[in-house]
Amino acid sequence: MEQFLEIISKPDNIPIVLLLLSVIYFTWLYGVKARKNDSQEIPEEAKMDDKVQVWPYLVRVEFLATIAVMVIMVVWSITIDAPLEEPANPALTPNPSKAPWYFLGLQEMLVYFDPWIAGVVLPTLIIIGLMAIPYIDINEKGNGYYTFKERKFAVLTFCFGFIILWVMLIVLGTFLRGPGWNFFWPWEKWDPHYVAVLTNVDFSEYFGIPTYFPDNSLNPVAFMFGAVCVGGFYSIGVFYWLKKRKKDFFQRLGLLRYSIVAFLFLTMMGLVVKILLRLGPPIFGLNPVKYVWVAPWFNV
Amino acid sequence: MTIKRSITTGLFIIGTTAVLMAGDVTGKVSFSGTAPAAQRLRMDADKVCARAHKQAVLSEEVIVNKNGTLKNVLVYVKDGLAGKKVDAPKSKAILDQIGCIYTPRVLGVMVGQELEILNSDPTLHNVHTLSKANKPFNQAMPMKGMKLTKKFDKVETFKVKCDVHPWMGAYIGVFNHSYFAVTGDDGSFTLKGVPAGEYTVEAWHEKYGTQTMKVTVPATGAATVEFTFAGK
Amino acid sequence: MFEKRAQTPVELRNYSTYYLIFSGILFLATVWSVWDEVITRRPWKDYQNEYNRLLVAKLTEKRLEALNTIDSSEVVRLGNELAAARAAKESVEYREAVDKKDTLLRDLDIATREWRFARSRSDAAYYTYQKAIKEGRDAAREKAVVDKHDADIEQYFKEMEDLNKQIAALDETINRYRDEVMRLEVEHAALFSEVSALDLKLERARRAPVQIRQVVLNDFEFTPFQEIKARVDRCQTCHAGWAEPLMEDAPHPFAQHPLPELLSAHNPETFGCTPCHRGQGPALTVGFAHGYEDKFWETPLLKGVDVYATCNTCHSSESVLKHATPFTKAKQLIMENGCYGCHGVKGYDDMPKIGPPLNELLAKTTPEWIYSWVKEPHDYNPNSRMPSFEFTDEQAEAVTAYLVSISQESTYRPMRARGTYAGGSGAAGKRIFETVGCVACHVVGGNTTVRDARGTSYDIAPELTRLGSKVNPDWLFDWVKNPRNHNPEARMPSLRLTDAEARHIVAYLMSLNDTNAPDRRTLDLANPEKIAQGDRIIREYGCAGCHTIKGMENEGKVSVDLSDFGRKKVEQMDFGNTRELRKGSDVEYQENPDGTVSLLRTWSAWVYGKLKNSRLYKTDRIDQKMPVYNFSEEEIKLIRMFLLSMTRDVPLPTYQRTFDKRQQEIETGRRLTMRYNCMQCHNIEDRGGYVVPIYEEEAMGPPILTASQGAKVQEPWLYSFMKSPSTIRPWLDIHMPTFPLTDDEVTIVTKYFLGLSNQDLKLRDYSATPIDQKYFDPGRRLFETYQCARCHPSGPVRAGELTAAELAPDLTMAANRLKPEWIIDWLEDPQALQPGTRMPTYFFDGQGPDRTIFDGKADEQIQALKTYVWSLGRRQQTAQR
Repeated sequence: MEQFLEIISKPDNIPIVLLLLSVIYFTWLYGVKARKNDSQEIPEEAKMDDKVQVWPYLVRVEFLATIAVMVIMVVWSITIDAPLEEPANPALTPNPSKAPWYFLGLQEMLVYFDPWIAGVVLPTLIIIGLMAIPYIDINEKGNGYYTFKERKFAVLTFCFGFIILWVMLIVLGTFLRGPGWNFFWPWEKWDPHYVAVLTNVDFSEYFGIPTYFPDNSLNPVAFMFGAVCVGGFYSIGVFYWLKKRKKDFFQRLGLLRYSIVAFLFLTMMGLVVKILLRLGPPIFGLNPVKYVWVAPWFNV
Repeated sequence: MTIKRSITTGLFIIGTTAVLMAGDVTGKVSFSGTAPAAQRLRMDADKVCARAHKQAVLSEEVIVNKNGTLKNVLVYVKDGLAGKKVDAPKSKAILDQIGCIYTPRVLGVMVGQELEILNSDPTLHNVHTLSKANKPFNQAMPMKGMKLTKKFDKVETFKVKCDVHPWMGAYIGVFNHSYFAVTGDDGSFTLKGVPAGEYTVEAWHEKYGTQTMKVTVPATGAATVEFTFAGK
Repeated sequence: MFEKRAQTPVELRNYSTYYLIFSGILFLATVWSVWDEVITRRPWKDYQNEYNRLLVAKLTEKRLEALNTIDSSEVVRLGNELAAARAAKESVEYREAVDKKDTLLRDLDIATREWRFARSRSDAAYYTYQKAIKEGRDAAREKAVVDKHDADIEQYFKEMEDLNKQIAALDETINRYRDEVMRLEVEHAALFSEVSALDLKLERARRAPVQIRQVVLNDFEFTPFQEIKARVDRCQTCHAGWAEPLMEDAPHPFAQHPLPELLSAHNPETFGCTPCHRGQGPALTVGFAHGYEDKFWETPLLKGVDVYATCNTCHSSESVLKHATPFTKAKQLIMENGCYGCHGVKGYDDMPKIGPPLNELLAKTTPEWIYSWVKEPHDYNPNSRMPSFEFTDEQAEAVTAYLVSISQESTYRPMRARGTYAGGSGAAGKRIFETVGCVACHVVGGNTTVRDARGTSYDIAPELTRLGSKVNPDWLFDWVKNPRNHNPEARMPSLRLTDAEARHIVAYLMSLNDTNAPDRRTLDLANPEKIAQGDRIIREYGCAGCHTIKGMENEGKVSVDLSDFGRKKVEQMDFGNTRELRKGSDVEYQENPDGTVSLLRTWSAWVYGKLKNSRLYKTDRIDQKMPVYNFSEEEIKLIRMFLLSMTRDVPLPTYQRTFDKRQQEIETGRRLTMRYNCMQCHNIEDRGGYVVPIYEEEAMGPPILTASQGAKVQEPWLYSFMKSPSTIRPWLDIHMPTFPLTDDEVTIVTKYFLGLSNQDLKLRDYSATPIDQKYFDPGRRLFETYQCARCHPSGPVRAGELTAAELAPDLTMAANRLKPEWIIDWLEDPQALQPGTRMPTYFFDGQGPDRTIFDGKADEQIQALKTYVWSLGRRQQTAQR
């Protein structure tokens, strides 16, 4: 625990701690405001029709904030020195070797996917997905005021994707991943000599299908099996469409927009599934799953 | 410049007065127990040496005087002189080699004082100092009447020997002050003009080692201190 | 309050109080930042002020001392004389002279001007005169004008000369007064010269600016990315007194550097401090500069003996450094314990194996002894260099089986028939053993003088206290007679013993029996499975790193390479089952009452634990193969210091010690002398001579081989002496033994001695040196006057004349043994060549004691003595012919 406190209070981790606190605070703020709005006819924000000039009434408050920020920065820079470490040495790299804190979520994903998926495909999809939001969101409600009732899917999906997946993975990568990228609980000491169990197997091997032949060539049956599993996972979206397509909302959404939303959503959930496949089986005495689908070009 | 000079002169006056407020430390070094019988020195190896003496020559390592005191003990102020300095004496100290014996056997000199070493024997002597702090020297004096002048610049007590005549030995104590004396035939000593103050006085003997005593010299008058060495 | 404010319309809200408060805070923050920058972050300013204050105090004290030592009567006398001399300048004579001189000078000015004008007039008139002649006119009138002017010149010139003479006469008087004052002033100033020098220093110390003092080495080393990197050292900003002798006993950080002589070769003003001491050069606060507060600084300040580790970065190719005794000792430890047998140690990989060959053990001892030795060598010989492998009974048996099996193929035969050893006397053997030189290497019984003098925890040659229960007397006889008969590479020399002497020694050594016999168990040695197991164990544990073993000739090193061990991270080190000491503990290693060990989790604690007990980090799963040594505390720290020096980051070649041919020859020689343990007897390069303390008189021991040895003896003489030593000092009991050196090895020794004397190997015929008749006779006379023969006998030594230790070598040997130039250097100042020698100096200040020969000129007399001494042996040679 002592070491955990030490890690939390390291100068380089101050922004992450601040981020965590502000995420909690703003989520709470949203909850309070959304609950109030949802319980009444007209949202609070709509009631305020009194307007004043930006200059000077807003700018003067902003200026005050500027001064406050400057004070904080000055005091920060006096009291906490730049957290420099030892000179870089290609022959002696630090352990654990960590990315900048804002990339630690990505680095965490590398545990579950191969570098091409976790490092290239998923980040690209995240960016494309965020860009796509205005085009696939056909719900005009909730504009300019806090609400939950009217945008349940959007709010839940975002909160899950950002807070649970992104922020939690950063916290995990920063505070709980020690030497050798091994997982340590806050009360455990980061031991460079920690020995982890290394018994991951591919999903197909649960069913007696080896991924590779003894001569190290890929087993086509395993490849096909993996493809079917992944395809099956995405087919959930198709089935859901077939079931709901008659509904008014889905009619308005259209097949194309639905496909994009479903693909992105399922991809996000795929990460969760993969994490569960890795962490779950040991509870039942099974080996953790390494890959579901092994292809010559990528592994999922 | 003038002011500086007058200050300097003033300081001298103060310094001189300080020295004037001083007394003598006197005392004697007694000897208890039995003295070892002095060994006869065999000088057969060098006829010149043998011929110089009519009687048998005895070792001077331990000489107990008739009054039960110990000769050749070097007594000196060891501690307590900080800040009190004295000029180096102008006179030379003398160490003679006569009849293949060093005379005196024990002597004290001041840092920077000239020590004149004489050879009064018509034979080869070499003066070999076994000093550690001062640079040791080993110089030959092959002819009678040769003189050698040396100075020492570090405080230390060391032996002087002659490699040609192995029985020859002398001891020199080097001090950075003039308050030292060697006991003579009556075993007494006088440290002259010691400034008032508290001191540690040490007595050194080549065989029996050192003893120290605390002594206080009053502003006027003298102080006494007695040492006793025990024979083994 | 906020409730009320929320109800106030935005336009009416007043923010001035907030502005005032926030601006106030910002102002304070700004003041704080300036304070932080100028004061908090610059503690070195205080150090410098403190240093300057201390220096001023010391200088003031010194000045006062200097004032006190000035002879006051002298000052008064000079002061009076000076006053008198100054007063004399008020006298009538002086003042009249000065006044008169002024008048005369004015007159001289006038006369000079008139003379110049007259010359000018004359030149002009001469022109007119010449013009008239050229024009053919009568020039008589013009000629008269010229003559008149010339007469004027003459007259004024005389006037000037006259005046000058008068002035010179006056000057004499004036200068007499002035010179007197000046002389006295100079004398007075000379009395105060020390004081004024101190005054100057004081002034400088008072005005010393408070500033950062830095040394920049632009091209010192490489970054880990192989780019040239500069090094900046600001240590001297706080350690301001490093070069000031006054600060010898000052407190840190103001104290003078304890080794000023070392700094003369590594000037901190150009070389900086961190190349030797490490630490963070550019930092200016204590914790960061020393590197302990900055846990990411990889090279914190070295403490204690570890500071010598950095010597190795530039001097890695040398094993002896003059001012770094711990460094020299550490390298000695590495070489003598053969660390390079199992580990890669840069620069030592081609060293010979330290242990004896194990191919013919049965000729020497029994399988039972081998078994008990393999099991625990320290039971038999606590100071053996052989470490303990802590084998199980089964493992030891297997190793013994293998060694016995290869021994059965041996072809060794002793020189003499078996049984020849018998018939010696133990008492005689003991006497020979103790006098002839055996004790220089071998300890017997409680006589540990040489071991103590050596100061290592191990012996360089086996202790023989229990030899009788180990060896076979036939073998021992053969070995004592000539070790190389059994082992052509044996390091033990032959002492040229006669058969009778050898028999005595065998009788003596065989009488030294083991009282506690080794545990005798029935060994299963013929079993091929056992032999195969032994083979495996020997390979696995790297026995061949130290011993030559048949069938293991091509084994590599069994353990890790140490070339970058000093940079190994603590995370890469396994502490096994040891407990952890909390950070900040006073000790780094602690043995607990329950038998466990607690360690700090640091590099140095790990190494300490490893060297203390190589098996310390052994766990159920992780086996440790390094054998256990019995190093002393000091040795552990020295070896650790050496390991700390093993890094790959070294300075650029310009900073490395140039390893020229001579350096290389010296180093090769050092290693050879180390291999043959020359230093057990001889003091070479200020180390060794471990046998000397057993003698009451130093002169009874083996001679010191000073740096001038190479300049002293003739190379052909050295060659024949090394090949077959002859007697130089007949009064010594200890003999120079015969080391069966090869010609190459003799050359190495010769070049080593020559290198230490800064000489090269040259081809020279010493017998061709002519004898100058001019010097011969005076030389003979001086030889008598100076009574050289008192100590230097020529011919057989007459017993009873002097005690033997007082004697000096026979000078008839000089012509064949010594270099003529060396005799001259020696006579000039023997103490300089061999400190503490009994040979006295005869010549001082260019004069010899006898002034009747060559007017007492030292160099001539030395030439004469040399000529005579040189002729002594030559005449003998001629006579022999």
